[in-house]
Amino acid sequence: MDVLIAAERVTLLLTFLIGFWLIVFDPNLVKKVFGLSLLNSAVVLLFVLEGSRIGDNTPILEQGIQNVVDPLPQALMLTAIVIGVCVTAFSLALVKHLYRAVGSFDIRLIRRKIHDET
Amino acid sequence: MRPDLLAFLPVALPLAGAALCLLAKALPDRAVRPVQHVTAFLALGLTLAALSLQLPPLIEGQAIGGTVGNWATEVGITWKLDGLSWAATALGLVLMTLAWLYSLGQGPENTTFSVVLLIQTSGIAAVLLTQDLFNFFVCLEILGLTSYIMIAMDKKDAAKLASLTYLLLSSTAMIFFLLGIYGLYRLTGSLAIPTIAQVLPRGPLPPTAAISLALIVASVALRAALLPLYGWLPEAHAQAPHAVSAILSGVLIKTPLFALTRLMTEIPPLSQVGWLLSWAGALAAVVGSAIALSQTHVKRLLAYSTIAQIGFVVSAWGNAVAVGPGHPAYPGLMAAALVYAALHALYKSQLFMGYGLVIDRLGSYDFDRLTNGLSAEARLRSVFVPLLLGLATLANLPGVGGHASKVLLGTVLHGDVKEALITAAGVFGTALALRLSQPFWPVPGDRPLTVGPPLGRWAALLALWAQGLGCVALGWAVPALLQEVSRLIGPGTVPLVEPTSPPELLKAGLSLLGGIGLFGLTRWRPVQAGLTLIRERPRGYQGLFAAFMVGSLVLALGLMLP
Repeated sequence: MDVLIAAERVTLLLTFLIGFWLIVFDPNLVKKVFGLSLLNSAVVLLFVLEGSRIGDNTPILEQGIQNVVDPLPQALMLTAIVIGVCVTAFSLALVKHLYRAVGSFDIRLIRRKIHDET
Repeated sequence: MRPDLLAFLPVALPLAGAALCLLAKALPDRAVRPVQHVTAFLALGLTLAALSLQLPPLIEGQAIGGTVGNWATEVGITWKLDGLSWAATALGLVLMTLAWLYSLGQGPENTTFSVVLLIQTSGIAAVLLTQDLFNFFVCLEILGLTSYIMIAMDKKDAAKLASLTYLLLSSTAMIFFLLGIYGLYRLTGSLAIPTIAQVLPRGPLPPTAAISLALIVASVALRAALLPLYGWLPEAHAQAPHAVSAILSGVLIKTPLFALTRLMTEIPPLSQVGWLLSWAGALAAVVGSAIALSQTHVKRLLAYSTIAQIGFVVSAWGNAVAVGPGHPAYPGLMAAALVYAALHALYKSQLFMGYGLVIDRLGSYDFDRLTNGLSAEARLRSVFVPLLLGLATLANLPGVGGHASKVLLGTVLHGDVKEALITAAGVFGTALALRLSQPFWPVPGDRPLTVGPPLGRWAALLALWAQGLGCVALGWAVPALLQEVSRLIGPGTVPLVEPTSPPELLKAGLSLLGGIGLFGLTRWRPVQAGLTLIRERPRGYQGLFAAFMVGSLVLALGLMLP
């Protein structure tokens, strides 16, 4: 069980770091958006996995029902997922517009071309 | 009306207005804009009325709070309406209304603009009410999303790129904010700020708590464009539509700061890093002003000036947070930050809007190409007079708000080393105002005077005049305003501010001369070469994220060390 938990955490950490690397260092805008999505997914999974370790039963707050799973992490992450979807959708729309304007997903080329035009 | 229902009207009314504006798009084309305009006007007007009804109990020092829907504190969203949140909401609402008014004349020409603006107004009210960390996250994301959308409403490709850069940086920071929430929830089992404050130790924090809080504060500091986390701001403000630039500069970088006050003042170890943020603010006041002076793009100059001015606000705000609500100096310091923020919001949004009219008429953002504007295009004269009031405020001329607000900050920071930095940054204000006035300088010689179509509808000019006259009125009202706003925040000792006293007028005169000299220096070729180096310095995503990580690390260390 401990090995499984450790494996989960390492996987989450790797997912997070890959996402962060893509956002910061990859010049391709689509990959930056992928990176943001990976980052978001890593944090959502962290909350869900850690929240699932507290309690066993469905979180119905009634008499006689004990040892319930903490409902808060799941509720929070539903909201975070929705926000993540909106942000991803809008960022892809912006990326598409920039690609149509410049003909490339490379941020360095896009910046240079826009700077030259302005 | 029940106080808890009244407290939520500034959240509910703009949202309802946004929904109706969206539904109006289903009407025949000719009816869409008139119906949207009436709906938005009613939503903003009723929200202002609701705010005024909230005021009487707050003046008596009463605060109201609870959980949304009266749920149990363990699972409900806690909220609180006090004097500080009311004052910051009122500032936001007034600016949003003026920006909307301007947009009637100058755009964005987009039927979605009113919808997004109203959702953002609702978000401003909500973020200032909440005492729940996750709700704080959600409200900040609402403000962020609406900002990205509004920036991208400009037709330029540069606006889309600026919006995307801001989105990537800010959304990544908010993911770190979520990590901070995770850490605090694991430690305390709660998302309610008062409960977290009770559970955490009062002295140096354990690493998990320190890192979690540092990530949360750094994420909000990025939204407020505090040094060194301002990298996203210049392009976002410069490339956005003019009304949106006014909103970003006037409201959206101040609201997260005042919303953060709740967290920083209720968790004692956090208040100890207030001094760190105060120093960052004082340094930003000088650094931002210096970089602004190097700009040849009008809106970028205004954007960097905003970075400097938010530094002024934070220098007082940080000191207020550091001393904490129990200290007698707290209300005066926090009120000074609020009053300065209000004045900056007024004149900076006016400058963005007014120069927006100049840019649209003359077709360029570049100072050199904008020269002789007043002489070349007769219609611009109607813009010049109200803009003069905004420029006079930036230049710290006595008689308008700029001088009085500098005296205000100097008084509350008296004896603090930061006062010297603030005074130095004030000299830059005059130089910047002279630089901004260049498009209106007359050029000798016979030139044909063109008379183009009217500059825009009456609404745009009305907004400019309202802001300009507001700067003058606020300037004269600063001493009384400080007393009243301090009363809203709480009991304490409020220093006397005397902007018209001979020593202060002498200081203002010296500062003006210094600013004129500095402006003259910038016309000298070697200095211009240096300014070009500053302006053309390389920037990239790596630098932006490195600044965020360094800022978070410094905050975490500050929280862990005794």
